[in-house]
Amino acid sequence: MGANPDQILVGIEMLKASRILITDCGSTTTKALLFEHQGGSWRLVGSGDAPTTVEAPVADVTVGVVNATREIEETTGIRLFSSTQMQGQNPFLPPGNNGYQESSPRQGIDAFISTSSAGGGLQMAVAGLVREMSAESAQRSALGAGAIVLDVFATDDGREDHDKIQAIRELRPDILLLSGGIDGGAEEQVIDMAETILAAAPEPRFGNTISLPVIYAGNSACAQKVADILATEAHVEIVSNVRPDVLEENLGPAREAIHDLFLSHVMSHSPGYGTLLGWTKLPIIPTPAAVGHMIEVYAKKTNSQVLAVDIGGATTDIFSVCRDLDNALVFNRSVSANLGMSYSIGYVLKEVGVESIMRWLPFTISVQDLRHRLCNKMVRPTTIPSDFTELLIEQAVSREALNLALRHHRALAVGIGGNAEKRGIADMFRQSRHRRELVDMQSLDLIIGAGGVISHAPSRMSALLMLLDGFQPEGITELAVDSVFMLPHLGILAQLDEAASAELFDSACLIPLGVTIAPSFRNINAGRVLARALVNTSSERSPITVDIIAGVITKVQGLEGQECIVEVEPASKRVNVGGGPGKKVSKRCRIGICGLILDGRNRPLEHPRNPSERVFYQQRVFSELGLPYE
Amino acid sequence: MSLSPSLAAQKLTRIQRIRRLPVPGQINVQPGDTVTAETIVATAELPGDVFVARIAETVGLEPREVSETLTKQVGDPVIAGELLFQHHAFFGFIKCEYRSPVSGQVELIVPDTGHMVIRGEPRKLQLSAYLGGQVNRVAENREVVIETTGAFLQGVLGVGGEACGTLEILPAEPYENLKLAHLPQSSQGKILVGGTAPSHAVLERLAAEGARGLVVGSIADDVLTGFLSYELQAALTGSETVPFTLILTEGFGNIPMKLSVMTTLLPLAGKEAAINGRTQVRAGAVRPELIVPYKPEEPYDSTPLATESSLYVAQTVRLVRAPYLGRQGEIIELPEAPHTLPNGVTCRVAQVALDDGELVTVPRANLEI
Repeated sequence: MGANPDQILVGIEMLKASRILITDCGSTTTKALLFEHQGGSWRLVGSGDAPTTVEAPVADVTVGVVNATREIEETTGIRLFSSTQMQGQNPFLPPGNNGYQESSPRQGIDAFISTSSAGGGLQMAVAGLVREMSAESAQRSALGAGAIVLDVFATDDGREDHDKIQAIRELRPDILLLSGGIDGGAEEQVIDMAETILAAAPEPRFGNTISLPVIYAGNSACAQKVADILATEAHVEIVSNVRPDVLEENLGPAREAIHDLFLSHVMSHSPGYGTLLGWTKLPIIPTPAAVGHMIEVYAKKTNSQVLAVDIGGATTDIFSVCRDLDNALVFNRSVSANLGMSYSIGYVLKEVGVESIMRWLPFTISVQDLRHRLCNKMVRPTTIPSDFTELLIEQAVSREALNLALRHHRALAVGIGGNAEKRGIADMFRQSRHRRELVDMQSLDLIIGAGGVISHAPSRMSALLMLLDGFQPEGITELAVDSVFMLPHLGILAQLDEAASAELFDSACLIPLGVTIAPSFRNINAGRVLARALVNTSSERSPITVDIIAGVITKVQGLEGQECIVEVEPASKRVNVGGGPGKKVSKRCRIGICGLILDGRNRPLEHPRNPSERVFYQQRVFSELGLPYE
Repeated sequence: MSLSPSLAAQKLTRIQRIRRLPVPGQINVQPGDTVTAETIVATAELPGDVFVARIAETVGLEPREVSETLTKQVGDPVIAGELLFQHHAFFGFIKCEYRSPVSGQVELIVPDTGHMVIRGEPRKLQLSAYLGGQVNRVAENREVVIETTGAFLQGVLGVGGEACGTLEILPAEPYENLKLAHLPQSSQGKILVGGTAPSHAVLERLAAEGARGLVVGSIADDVLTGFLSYELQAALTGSETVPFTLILTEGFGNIPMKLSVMTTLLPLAGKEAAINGRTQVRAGAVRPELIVPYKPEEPYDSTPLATESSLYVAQTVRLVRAPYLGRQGEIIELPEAPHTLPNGVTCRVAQVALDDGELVTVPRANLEI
């Protein structure tokens, strides 16, 4: 099962293509986008949403795909479906009038491709020897492939064997990734881990009669022994070691194997996916893998450090492309599977506490009232905030979810040292000193927000403020939003035509919100000047000079939509605007629709303890940025 | 076409429940058999827990040395305390041995590590019918389908698993906070329905008396936390250790129970009922339920109500989000074009006349049928 190679359009054929339909089958909603090439450029011409139909009672993902696509037909007038549709057959019209009686200037599609996170997406368990080494590398590999990592097992994870066995048995992952032992290193412990998995007799999530796919990506010397041990319980694929050496990581082969197994073992057993695979020009890939690919491609093309977030109802995915010690741009992805705006809102409340949410609100509310509102959202996740109180509470929760998810991401997105020097076993346990967090909040060039609470915020300024408050970037940073959550669609389109994908990313997907200048400082009283910024726009107007004031956030009017060079000079050595204490920084930026934001609130953001003062403080922040709150 | 969810409150409908074993086992009934809620319809043996005997490390010998001289082979039974390995050294003066800490059966011996995997005694599982009714079909040594007729009610959130008991309707109005004074002399073996926002004391007394279930409109979150002994973090429930199953029909806070619950259940007081608090709020949502089986005296429409249906003018709806949470009204208009609310959110809306006459504009996503 899988896409017919003869049907796959290669890049050269894509140059002739004029209309492509792309769907993303999310866990709740299937979203269809239609792109068209006209007058020398690609553009988005239609979109449609429908509930995802992978679960009972429909249990056929193609129904949701067809429903979402029908909305495009209805709103654009472009005929996309053949008039004679047979059960299971490709329902889409090819371009032209073949078999269609009435003439129509625009009909049919050249290609249909799709991503998916339906049914909870790709869920994996990973196992390794040492938690902060092979297990962590395996985890990064799984996350980079777009998976939700249900659990990470390691010999030093603090659990007894029987607890591990019980946990593995209860997990029901789609795929299990086993790593461990550098090449030429430990073997016994790796085999021990394989025995543990065998004893647990894990079952896959879908299909009681299929073996669990296991990818072995550990010490190559014991690969066959591991495969022999697990042969009766699992379908084992052997790939290159994800951690061939203490200071070397090789995530690609495992990631590729995950993609292949996802298609052959997971998607093919999900209701309707077999049919859907027959319609698509490319294999279906997990939604986060497509989003991550798009972010990585964009960052490397523009040579910039990018942080992106997709905050959904159940999970928050963060993607980063940041420089390591060798100055290479490294991609990382994390998924906080328990942080979300509806299904997982209870976890956010438990993790941060009600006071952390209340601090963002420009009004007074009792603890119990707030808790009840959040609990009611948890049990009715598809409802929409219909007044300011409900809206601002949701946006307050999003700030905390973003903050928590970023902390999780920064702990995972680490470089393992730029030194190729080989080290011994003893160094494995000291290798933490070679782990360096890659995400530097002072060095980020661009932050991209996606997900309903951000993309569908009533104003772009409120989306900007959520990202600013949640992530708290420092220095000079551009902020943007994915207009309609197009990233998954463009991510898979990039596999077909990278140029088309890049063009649409710039023209239709990314909406620049604004540029923020946020110094970090110490021992400076509120009201004092932190830094002075000189803004040179590309227009003929004179440069603008503005001061960033400690404790104050404000917006500079009149720069919306401008390309400019921003030079920021700290007022003293106690101020850092991204280049080091007291050092001047200059950056070329594109200022979006929200303008230039001067954020003199220190990091980490703090609020007055007194509830009345805190409410007044937040009201002032909202007023300064022109945001209504009642 | 947008669809709005509904939580069922049906006076009489045909109900089927699939009773499924986690592993193949033995089916004890046949199609056509009449069962009660307590009838054991299927049994199975679940694999026992696994114990990994790390013999080589324990006795301090090489794995190969250990594996070649074990006293048991794969498939052999083992009794706790039984000798699995013995080694003599230095002319017999040094003896090391390993005795099994568990009973079970040898499942695996791994020569490379000198480990023995022992699977413990299997655990017996007995699966009840959960509902009084008839066996509709059986399948694959794993599944029994029970069918019945009766009243079917869904809540928005439940905690606790399956239980059955005698239905009792409490003398509390749907909007009244449930108090001790509303409770009967004894709640043992009963599933009680009525009122809203019960106090800690009410739940404690029901637990002490052996109640099987409670259905109320809403609850304060701190009272639920006390009942569970932890904060609920996700609407994914059903396996909690609680003294009885609890179902909320509306949500959190002080929200009146919807009247249709009382009107549906009041005539059925005294009958045997089945309750299940299992909740899973995702696509393909599972909501907690209360079922009261009974045979109809007259012909009835057995078509189950749809879990979703489209809205129409003059339809009665419930509003399920603040500021109108728990209110009921009638749809006056369904504008086609999206509407921008005062808070800036743009969505498809409905104009609803509330039960007190107030006219409000609300997102369609905030309506329940």
